[in-house]
Order: sequence, then C-alpha cells, then structure tokens
Amino acid sequence: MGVPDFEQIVDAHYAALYRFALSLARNEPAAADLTQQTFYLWASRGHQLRDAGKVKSWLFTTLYREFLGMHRKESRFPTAELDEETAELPENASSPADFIDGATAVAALQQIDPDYRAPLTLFYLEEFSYREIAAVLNIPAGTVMSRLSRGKGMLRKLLLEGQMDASRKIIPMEPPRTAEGGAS
Amino acid sequence: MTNKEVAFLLGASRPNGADANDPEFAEAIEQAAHNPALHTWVEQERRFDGAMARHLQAVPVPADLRSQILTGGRVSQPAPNLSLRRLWAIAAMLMAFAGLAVWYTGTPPGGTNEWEDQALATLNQLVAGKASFDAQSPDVADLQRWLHANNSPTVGVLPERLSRLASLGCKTISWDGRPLSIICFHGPAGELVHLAMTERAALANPPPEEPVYASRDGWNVVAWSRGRMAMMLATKAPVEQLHTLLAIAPAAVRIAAD
Repeated sequence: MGVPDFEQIVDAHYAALYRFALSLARNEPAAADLTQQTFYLWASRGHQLRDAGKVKSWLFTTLYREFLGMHRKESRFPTAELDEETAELPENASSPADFIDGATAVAALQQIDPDYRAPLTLFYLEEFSYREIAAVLNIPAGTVMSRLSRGKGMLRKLLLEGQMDASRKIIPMEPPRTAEGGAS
Repeated sequence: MTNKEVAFLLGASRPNGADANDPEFAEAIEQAAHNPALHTWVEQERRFDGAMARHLQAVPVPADLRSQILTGGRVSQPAPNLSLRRLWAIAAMLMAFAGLAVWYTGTPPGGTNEWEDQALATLNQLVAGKASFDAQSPDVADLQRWLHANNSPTVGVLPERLSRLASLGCKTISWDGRPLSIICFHGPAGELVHLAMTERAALANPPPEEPVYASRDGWNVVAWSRGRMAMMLATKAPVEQLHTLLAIAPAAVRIAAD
C-alpha cells in the first residue's frame, strides 16, 4: 500500500497531533507550531517513508522529538519497579470521573511531568497501544506501563485535591492599542 | 499474578477496548473476571479512563490550523525535477544573499530598523513608568495566550532559556499601522529583559535568521527572524546576558506557514 498524499495525511492526523502537542507544550501557539513543524518535516523528509502503516507513528515520534529538542532535560524520572511497591491494588475507589469537566481534565494532565504526561496523552487519545507508545517515546514497554500506572495515580490525586489553577492568573489592564502611536 | 500485577497490566489497556484481544492482557482479563475486588477496580479504572479520553479527544483544534499546515506543507514540498547542480546553485545564491543580509542589517543606515526604534521608545516609556502593560502575569504562557487571543504578534516557541524566566507583563503597540508586541521578563541577573515581536512579512528589511547584536540608545539588543516573526531582545544588562539567553535556539519554528 502506498503512502497517502499530503492532504490525506494532514486530515487523518493533525487534530490528534495538535492535542498531543498541546498536552506537551501546554499552550496553544506552541502546540500549533509543533504541529506545523511536524508536517513541515513530513513534507521535507516524509517521502522517504514507503510504508503507509508507519506514517502515524512517524508523525507522533517526530513531534515528540521536536518537543524534547525544545525542552532538553537534565534528569529523568526513575522507573517504578513493581517489586518495590505493595501487593495491594492501587487506590481508585474515589473516582473523579463523575465530576471532572474537559477543562479540568486537561488542566490536571498538563500539570503532570512530561515523562508521565506524554504516555498518558497518547493512551487517552487512543491512538496507540502501550507497545506503540513505547516506540513513539523510545522507552521500554514496561516503562510505559509503569508511567501510565503512576501517571494515572498523579492525575487522580490532582483532580481530587482540586489543585488546578492555584497560581494561574492574568490581569488585563486595558485593551490592546491599535491606533498608531499607541505606545504612550 | 497478584492483584497488583493484574491492575498494573490492565491499567495499560486502552479504555476503548482496542486491546481486548491482546494476548499480553488475556490472563489478567481472565483473572479480573473471577475476582470481585479486581472486577470492581477494573470498572472504576475504565470509568476514569473513559472520562479522561472523552475530554482529551474533545479538545478543540484551532480552526485555521489545517489550512495553515496545508499551505505551508505544499510550499515546503521538495521540487523533484531540480538537478543537483541547480540545487547547489540555488543554495549558493541563498547563502550569498543571507551573508549580504547579515552585513546589511548589522550596519543599518538610518531608518531601516524603525520597528526596533519604536519598540525601544516604548521600552523607555515602560521603564520610566510613563506607559503601562496591557496584561500582567508571571507566567509567559499566559501572556502568549493573551497576545494570541488579541491578534497581536507572538511567537509560539520561545528560546528555551527565555521561556524559563518569570515574566512581568506584555504590551501591544502599533507602528506604521502594524502591530508590535512586547513581553517583559525578570532577567537572570536582576535586570529586565524585553522581547519585541512583529510580523516578518511587514518589514522591508527584516533581521536575518542568525542573531545580530548591537548597542543602541543605552540598550544592548539582538535581533533575528524565525518563522513568520521578527524578534528583538533588549536589556540594559551586559550583552553577555543576551548571549546566554539565546544559547539554545528555538527548535520548533513555524517555518511551514511562512
């Protein structure tokens, strides 16, 4: 099967890519930039890809690498080892599923460290299995499982404690000037 | 498998059931079906996952994003019929042109950098308390959103070290009928650092992509273009601070839309 044309690829993936980018970059202009940059790279190099089945993975992997290029990190989170934890079931009885709305859910997700946020976002976008997430993020499949487990725990805790929007504030002073000489 | 191990595995299976037939999960699914505590746990997990998935998949996408991608993408498509020799000739011409642009912008004759003059005049007024911010926030992402919402020029991805600074506020002005945005930051050494942005296409002589440093009217400035935006960073601090702030160039730029 041949690779679809550029417009078909954009239509199939741009919305999910934008949502993934928004989750990583946490602001709309940067997410739009990342999405456009990913398709720009596709337009520049994507013709080298012969397998249509790998287009989606190529796009998400490229976007994630572009994001990492923006935010090179000095330390990585340790992987949680199953053996180090108790044999009890993780707490999920107090489910925030009933009261969260879209804005709250997205705000909570965006507060989580990128190491956990990236696999969680791909998981919730339902674009990828945990094995595919491992390939996109270039981490072992077991690490994906671990980060999904711990990430969900963090997400649930944030939602239950209502810690979102604690420090977010913007103070409009006056409407933007549009007339010439508006600097004074 | 312990209950914990089953939960660990099933927590990684997608909420839409797409992994139901994955053999990796078969044993865990079977075990959960015969264990009431696990069964309840899985149901709770599915409800939570399902709610998160619905919300995340409903995040709105900018209305013009698709058209911007398509426009930029098509423009950026490689031209397959160009010979290698011709491509090299074009590349050499572009490099020569870029060199000229660096030279020209680095030694501007009077009046060629009017937008920078306008931005510096506004900065003088801001620091003297004769002008006020349009919006204030310590988080530059808030200011970027505000500028974006008010149709004022803003770059999506800031140079990394700049994006780590605490912001004070932003101001939008108009010079020659064109919008210009300014974001002010607390610099790492205590001095203020200011980023001015305007549309590159609006400039007859935009700065080149390679940053050009200069000293003007008591300010140390560096100007460069990236994507569709022309930018200038200005500070009263030593020029080394500008070098430090631009040490890591922005990796993701809106090249495709330009």
